[in-house]
Amino acid sequence: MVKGDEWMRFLSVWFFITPFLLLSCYSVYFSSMGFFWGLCCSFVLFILLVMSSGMSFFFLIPNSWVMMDDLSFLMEVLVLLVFVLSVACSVKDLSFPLKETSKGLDSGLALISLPCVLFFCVGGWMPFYFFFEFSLIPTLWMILKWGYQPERLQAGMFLLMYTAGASLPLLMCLVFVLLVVGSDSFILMELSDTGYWFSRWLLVPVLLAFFVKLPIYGFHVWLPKAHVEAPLAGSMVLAGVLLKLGGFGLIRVLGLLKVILSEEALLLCSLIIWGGLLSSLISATQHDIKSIIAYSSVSHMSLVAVSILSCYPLAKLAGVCMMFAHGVCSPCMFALAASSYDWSQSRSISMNKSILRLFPWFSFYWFSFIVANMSCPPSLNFFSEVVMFSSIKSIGFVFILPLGLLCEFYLCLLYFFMRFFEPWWGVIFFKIVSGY
Amino acid sequence: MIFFAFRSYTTFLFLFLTVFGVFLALEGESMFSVWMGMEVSFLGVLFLISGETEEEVESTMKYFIIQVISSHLFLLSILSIAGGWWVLESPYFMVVSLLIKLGVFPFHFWVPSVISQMSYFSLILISVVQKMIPIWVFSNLSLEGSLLWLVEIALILSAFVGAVGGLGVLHFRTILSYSSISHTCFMVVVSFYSFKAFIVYLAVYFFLNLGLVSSLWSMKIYTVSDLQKVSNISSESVTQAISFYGLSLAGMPPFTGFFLKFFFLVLSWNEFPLMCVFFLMFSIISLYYYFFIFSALSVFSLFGGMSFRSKPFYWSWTFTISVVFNILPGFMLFMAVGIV
Repeated sequence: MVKGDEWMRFLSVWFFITPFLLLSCYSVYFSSMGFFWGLCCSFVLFILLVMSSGMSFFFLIPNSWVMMDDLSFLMEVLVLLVFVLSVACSVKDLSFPLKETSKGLDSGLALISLPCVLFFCVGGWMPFYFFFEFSLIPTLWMILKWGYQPERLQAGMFLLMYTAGASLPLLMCLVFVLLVVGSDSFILMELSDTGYWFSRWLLVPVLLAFFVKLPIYGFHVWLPKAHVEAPLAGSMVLAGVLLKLGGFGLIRVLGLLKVILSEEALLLCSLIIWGGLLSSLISATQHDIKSIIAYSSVSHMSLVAVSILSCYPLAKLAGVCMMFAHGVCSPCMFALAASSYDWSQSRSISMNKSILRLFPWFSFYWFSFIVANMSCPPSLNFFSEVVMFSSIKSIGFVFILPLGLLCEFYLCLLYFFMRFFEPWWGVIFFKIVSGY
Repeated sequence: MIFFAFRSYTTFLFLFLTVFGVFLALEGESMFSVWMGMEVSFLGVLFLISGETEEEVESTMKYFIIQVISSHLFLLSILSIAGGWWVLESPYFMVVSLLIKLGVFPFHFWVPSVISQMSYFSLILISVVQKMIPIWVFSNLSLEGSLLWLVEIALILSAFVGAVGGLGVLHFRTILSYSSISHTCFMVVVSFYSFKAFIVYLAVYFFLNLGLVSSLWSMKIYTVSDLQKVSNISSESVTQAISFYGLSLAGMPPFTGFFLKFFFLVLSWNEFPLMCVFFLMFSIISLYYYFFIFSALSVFSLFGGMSFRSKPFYWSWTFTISVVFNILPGFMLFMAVGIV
């Protein structure tokens, strides 16, 4: 490896660590779990250090059913973080209207997080698939049982049909691999050269399952519906963890099923980036706060997908960091949206305007998380996005154009932020109301 | 526990007759004993499914006619294989008669209209017990060439019928009949691998179906409008427990039903890859009506069954049975696929 490359990686990761510390300072007040946050920060620091120092051969394989590497440690930390955040933020759901009637929300949340935790540390394709699908049913249960609107039935159906429908072809391909190789364990696949005679077409159904889970633009329809209709805790876990199952699966599949897709990769990347651009444009036209956040999730995940598909190590690192940063930032935004909903009983922007006048601290939180989502320095999102852009332009220079236009979604979030905080409308309203 | 319609003491006799017929067919030494066992078992089932109401008697008549025609065709095929006329076509006769018996495309038209009018107990008998003997014959035929091609096309198209036919149906027994059509296709393909594998599949399918049907029978739920009769809290908890069976039969992890799909896939991917692809595509379509069962039982109950205003949970035997059949064996059976 070139010396300059290593320095570049080392420096860029140190740039990642500092902003993450700064970002987490905001969240300490938000969740009132200071020690816990400190613990998570130090753990993530350790992970990023490990990933940056080139020790990518760090595997933990205690038996044939568990395999953890640096990526899975990071994801386990993320699951734990998001789970604790969700429980802390869904206090109103846990005691409304009476403690007895909301029984089961916390266990529902734990039931979603349990397969996710197990998913990130399995060592074979069959348990991988089992826990990939296992996390679906408790999510469906949470949306149907604790969602607020009657549209949640259709949302649950879309979630189930899209995700389960795309993952049955994945099951077929994994069974094919099992029967050809003789075993489904990751270690064996790493140690043997099984992938080189797999047909290229094997990867199409496999990628499809993860593209629907991520989601990518053409298969993203379930995501806004599910996010809008889910209860707060469900939205947080969906945005924070369940989308990352797709990204994690993509990394594992491209690493272990060694199928060469150099020609299709360009086509896929252009489709995905174009979808991300479209999704960010759609996000700018929404009037439902949760919808805006959901569509911006789609465009963030499209960037992650392209950077993982590009197969550059630095791009993969940036994609992982973006997954982590998005997994922390997006649940917090959903929590803020739910607090706005609590106050104004409406999820539309126009009903939640002028909160700058009424709740200054609250709007400060809104500002910080919107700006972090927009990848403004010094947040972790900024550095992962910068590195992703520079890696994606290395695939094909023409990608600069849509990537630059993706800044559109920065603008859309700024638009949201501007509409949200128009203080002069609030002044007029105040004057009319108080009868001046 | 009083599920099997204790209409009279002769129920036990005819149940014994049914099981004895299956025993005759499986353990007899000649093809005639297979046919005889088929008839004996059919006789027992006939007495059991002809219930008291007019609809049940009507569907018994339809079932009788279909099965008698296919039994005669089967007998003709046995005789002609043993040395009669039409020696070249006689395997086709046997296969076609078995397809009629099982309710496989293009002879599937009797299945929804018969099963949707019968009681739940008869549903179990027809969709589980009566499949054993024809599939026993299937697993012993050495299908090859154009005969295998015929069976493959018939199974793929009947999987399509089973997937698409149940969409938009509001009566639970009709949905279960289409579910039985598509599961029959899976069972036939599993039986091509070995008979023991088919017995394993049938056993799991039988327990799932039994749990669902006995719960629905005890709540007396036959259509979606019957769900409005669920008016007290304990019944609401029961219907929410029953809703797991819907997704389990669909083949969703972590439920037991996922074992059925996975088992089928592992056994038959090597010999019939195209059938595996088609069957899985069609089971995605059938997921829609299984989700309908799930949501109907858990969301559509009266007084907002699935909202946060629902009352706390009440334990019942149905809930225990549902958990024991659906959730507990789920992961264990999944890990145990490699044993067979």
